[in-house]
Amino acid sequence: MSDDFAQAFKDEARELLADLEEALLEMEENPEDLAIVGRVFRTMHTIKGSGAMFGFDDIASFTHNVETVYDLVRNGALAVSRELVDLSLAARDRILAMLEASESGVPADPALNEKVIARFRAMVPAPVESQDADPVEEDGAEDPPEALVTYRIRFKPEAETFSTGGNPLALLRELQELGPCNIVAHTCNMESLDRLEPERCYLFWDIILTTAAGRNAIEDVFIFVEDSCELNITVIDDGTRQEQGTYKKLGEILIERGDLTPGQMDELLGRQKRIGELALEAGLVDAAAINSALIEQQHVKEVRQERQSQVQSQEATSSIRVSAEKLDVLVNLVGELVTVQARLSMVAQELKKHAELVSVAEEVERLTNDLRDNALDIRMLPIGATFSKFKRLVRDLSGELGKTIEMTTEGADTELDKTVIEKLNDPLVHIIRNSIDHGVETPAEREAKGKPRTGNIHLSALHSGDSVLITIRDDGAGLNVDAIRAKAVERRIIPANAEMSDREIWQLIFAPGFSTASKVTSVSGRGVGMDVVKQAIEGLRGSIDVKSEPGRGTSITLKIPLTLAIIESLLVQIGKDRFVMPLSMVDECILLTEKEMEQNHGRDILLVRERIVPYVPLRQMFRIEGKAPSIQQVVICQLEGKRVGLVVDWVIGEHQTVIKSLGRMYQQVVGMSGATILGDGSVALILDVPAIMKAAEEAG
Amino acid sequence: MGSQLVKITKKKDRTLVAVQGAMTVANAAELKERFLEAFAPGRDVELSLAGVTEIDATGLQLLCSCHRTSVERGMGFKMKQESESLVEVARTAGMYRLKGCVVDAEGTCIWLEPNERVTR
Repeated sequence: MSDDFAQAFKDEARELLADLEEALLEMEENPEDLAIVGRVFRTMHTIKGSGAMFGFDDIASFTHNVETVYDLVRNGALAVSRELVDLSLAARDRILAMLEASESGVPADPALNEKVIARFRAMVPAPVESQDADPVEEDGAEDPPEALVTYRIRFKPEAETFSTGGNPLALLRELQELGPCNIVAHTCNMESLDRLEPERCYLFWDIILTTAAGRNAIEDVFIFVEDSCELNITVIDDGTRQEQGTYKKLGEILIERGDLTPGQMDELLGRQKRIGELALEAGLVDAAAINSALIEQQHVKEVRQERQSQVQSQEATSSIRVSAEKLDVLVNLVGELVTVQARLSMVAQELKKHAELVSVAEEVERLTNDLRDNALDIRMLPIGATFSKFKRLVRDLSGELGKTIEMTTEGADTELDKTVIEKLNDPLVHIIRNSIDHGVETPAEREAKGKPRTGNIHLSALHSGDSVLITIRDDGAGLNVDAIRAKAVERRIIPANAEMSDREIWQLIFAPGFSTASKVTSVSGRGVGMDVVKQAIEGLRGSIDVKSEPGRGTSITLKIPLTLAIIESLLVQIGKDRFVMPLSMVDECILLTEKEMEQNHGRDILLVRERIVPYVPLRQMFRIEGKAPSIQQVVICQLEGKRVGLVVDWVIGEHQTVIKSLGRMYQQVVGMSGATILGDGSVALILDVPAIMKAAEEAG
Repeated sequence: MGSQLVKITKKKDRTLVAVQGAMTVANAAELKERFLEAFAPGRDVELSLAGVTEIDATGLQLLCSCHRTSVERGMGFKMKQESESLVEVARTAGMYRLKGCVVDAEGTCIWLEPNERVTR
C-alpha cells in the first residue's frame, strides 16, 4: 500500500521536475517575471512537502534549502541570475538522482548534494540562514498564494476621520476589488440630529471578504489609516476545514466577535428560540451585529458551495492516471477486436441472405472503428514535453562549446503515440547534438559571416496525413558537400569516382561509421550518431529527409507514422501466402506480363512512364514454391526518393493491419517486420519494405 | 446660498425636504442644521434625494440620523427618489440590511432591503 503511495509520489515528482526545468529556463529568459519565480517556488514547495509525507526525507531536506533561496527571490531579496538558474538546474538533477536512487537502491552521491546545498546556502544572506535552523517553520502556516481565504475584517475608523480627510468608503471600494465581499455597516452608535456632530464618524464596518490575494493585500488597503482606526482581520475560512455542512452557528460567530459572552449565550440557549431573535429581544446585541453575523454565515456558505462546485467540476474534467501497461493491454484488445470484426464482416458478406447479420456486422464495424480510434487516441501525447527537454540540452551543450544558441519550437501540441515519442527521444538528441556541434558556428564565426551572434535551432512538429513531420532546422554553416564526399571516399563508403547528387551526398551522413568531425568531442563526433538515428527512425517505419544550403543551415525532417499499433496496408498474395505492406509506402500498382519480363533479358527492371524502375521478385526472394501466374502485379514503393517494385502474384486490396511483433526467434529474419492476423484467422507477414530494398540493392 | 442646498416646503400634514447638491463632509454641518429645521414643525418628513449630486459616509450618517430623530420624536420619515448612484454608494457602505437597528422597533429603518420592505 505504502509502495503505491511512494510510486504515486515518484510519478508526481517526475512531472514536477519536468515542469520545474521548463520554469527555470523560462525564468532565465524573463528574470523579472515574478510569476515564474512563484511557480518555481511552489514546485519546490510541493516536492518538499510530498517528499516529507512519503518518507523521502533526503529529498525534502535538500529541497528545503533550495526553497529557502527561492523564498528570498520571490520577496525580491535576491535577483535571478544565470548562476541561480545553473545551480537550480543542478539541484533539479540532484533531486531526480535521489528519486532514481530510491528505485535502484544505490544511494545518490551525498557529496554532490552537499556541494549544491553549500552553494545555495552561500546565496542566502547570513541572518536568514540562522532562521533556517528551524526547518519546519511556516510549513502549512503559509497559505499558498492562490488559495481562496475568507476573512472577517472589523474596521472602525476613529471619530475624527472625516475632518482629517479620511474616506472610509474609498477603502471599502478597494476591498471590494479584492474579491467577493459582504459589507455591513454598524449604525448602533448613530445619534439623532439633535446630538449629531456631522463631521464625526459614528459608523463602523464588518467586512466579510473572500480573496486569493492574501492578508498583506488587505493590510495594504488600510496602510494609510492604520494608525487612525481599529482594524481587526481574522481568517474565518481557509478551505482546509472541509467538513460538510459545518457552518459556524450564529451564536458561535457572535461570541467569536466578542458581541456576546459565552455566559450570555448559555443563558440564551436555555430558552427555546432562535439565537438571533433571543439575543435581540434580550437587548444584548444590536440588530446590526446579528445582521452582520448572519451575513457572514451566508457568505461563508456561498464561498464553500462555490469551492465545492469548483472541486466537482474539476473532478469531472480532470485526468486520471493510468499505467502505460493497462493502455497497452487495451490497445491490444482493440487490435484483436478489429481482427475478429474483419472476420465477422467477411462471414456476413458470404451469408448475404441474412440481411440482419449484415446489418449487425456493419454496426459492429462502425463501433469497432470508433473504439479503435479512441483507444489509439488515449495513447496520444503532445510532443511538447519532449521539446522542452531539448531546451535544456541546447542550453547546456551550447554553453559547453562556447556557442550561444537559442531553441525555438513550433507545434508542441502535436500529438503522437506514446511509444513513438519515447523512441524518438534518442534520435532527436543525436540530431540536435550534431546541429549544435557541427552546424551552428561560434559567435565569432557567425559575426564574420554577417549572421546574428546567437544561433537558432528550430524544432517543429506537424501532422501530415497519417504521419507527423518533425523538422530540426539550424541556421548554421550547412552541410559541406565536398567534405562529406571526401570523408565517404576515405571511409570507403562510396567509390572515389561515384557520381552523386547533392541530395544523395547529404544522405551519406546517415551511413554507418561516418563522421566528419575532425576532433572527437563529448557532444558528438564519435561517428555513431547519425546511422543510429536512421536505424531508429526506420524502426518506427519512418523516413528521414535532409536539406541543406551552404552558409544558411541544415534542416532534417523526420516523417513518423502516427501510431505503431494499427496501420493501413495493402494486402497481397504470393502462391498461397499473403503479405501486407504499409500503404504509406505504396506509390502505385502495375501489371507485369511474361512478355515484358522476356524483353528485359532477365534484368529485373521495367519501364514506367519512360522511367526505369527496378523490381524485386518476392516469389524468388522468399523461395515460394510453385509457378507464378502469367500476369503478375508489381507494387511500386517509394522510399527516400527511390522507387522500387515488389512483384507479387496479385494484389488483394487495402487492409487494416493490427501489428503483432514477431517472436524473438524470428526477429533476425530479413524482410519481415511483423505479422498480422487476417479476417479468416490466417496469419499474414508484414513486409519490411526498406529492408527488402536494401537487401536487393546489396545482391545487385 | 444655504437655502439652495436644502429646500424645505411645509405642507399641512408633512414637511417636504429636497436636497440639491452634494451630501458630503463639506456640507455636513449645513445639512444637519437644515434637517433639524425640517423636523422642527413636528410633522412627518419626506426627503427627496433626486437632486443629490454626490454622497459620502457623512451624508449616509445624516440620513441614518434623520431616521433616528424621527423614531425618537415619534414622527414619520421617508426617503424618496434616491438615484441609482446613491443606492450604489449606500450598498458599498454596507448600509442595506435585513433588520433595523436597536432603536428601530417599528421596522421603519430606511436601509431595509427593498424586497424586505415590500413584505412589510
